[in-house]
Amino acid sequence: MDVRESSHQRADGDLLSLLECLAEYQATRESSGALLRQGFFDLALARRSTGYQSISPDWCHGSARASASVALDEHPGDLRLVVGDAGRAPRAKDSETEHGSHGSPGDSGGVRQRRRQSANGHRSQDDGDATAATGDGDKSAGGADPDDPLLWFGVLVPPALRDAQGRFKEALGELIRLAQLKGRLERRLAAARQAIDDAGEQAVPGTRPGARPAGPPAQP
Amino acid sequence: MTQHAAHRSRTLIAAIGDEDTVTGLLLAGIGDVDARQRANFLVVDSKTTQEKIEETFLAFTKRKDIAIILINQHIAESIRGILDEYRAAFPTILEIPSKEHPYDPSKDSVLRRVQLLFGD
Repeated sequence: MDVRESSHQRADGDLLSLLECLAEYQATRESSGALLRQGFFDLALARRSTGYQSISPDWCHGSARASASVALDEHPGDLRLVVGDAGRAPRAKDSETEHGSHGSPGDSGGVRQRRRQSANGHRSQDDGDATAATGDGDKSAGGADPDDPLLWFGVLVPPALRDAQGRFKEALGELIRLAQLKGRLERRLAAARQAIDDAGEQAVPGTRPGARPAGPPAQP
Repeated sequence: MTQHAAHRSRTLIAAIGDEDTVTGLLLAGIGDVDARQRANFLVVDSKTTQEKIEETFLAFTKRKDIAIILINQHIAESIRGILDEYRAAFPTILEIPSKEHPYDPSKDSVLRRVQLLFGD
């Protein structure tokens, strides 16, 4: 009896954990979708002012390097996404804020901005902290980031294009958080399914979980 | 530790999407072309064949430097069979809406499995 109750309690706990993760997943889906929609709108405005063909992936040159990437951090029993930097120890990023705190554990998700070396081989002294995908990492004391994709479209870009970039950077941060939540949801789904199967076996040993016990037919 | 060491080199975000989606993501800074001239993105238009999409998806999944693959949901539908067979933890596959095709939760594979668990 105790064993059966504990297995049921574990199944309940796993299901509640799954539902919490599911709620967070759906909320992040909504927020990322809203940011993407706004980004598409800003992109359309930018194309309207400069011409459709002037803003397209064709402008991505053959030696482009990603300025936004991810870093995987090890966590007991889990791989986490963290904000990191090539030259420093990675730090966790609070998904609710643009700038994470140093060394904070717990759930996190974020985008790493690649630090770039200048032409003489020295790293920029104004790298600042690794930031979220909002474009703050592109600004340095010396001026524009030479790897900023906006520069593909010329020096003077329409404000709508700059707005679109900011929006897509925010959306990217949310999408990375969503990818992290998806992995977590799948793991909790597997755990919940296993707990339910175990609880079902404890209830009626040797029978298939969910199967109804045999009984007399209902009287009319 | 072994698992972490195997995935530590995965830093890139790949994208398979329509022109608006890929343009936006490139603006966000994900675009990368390596020394072998392999891009981490594919623009899908009316002329892109299903074979090309499948070939690019499989190539992205085999690369050791890609952590996440973002793919428009309506494009994912065209290669649903391959996606459903994909079971690896990394690169993580994430379906995203496009400008013309909003996100449809009924086609989300994770949500479908949750519904099956609750008997819906």
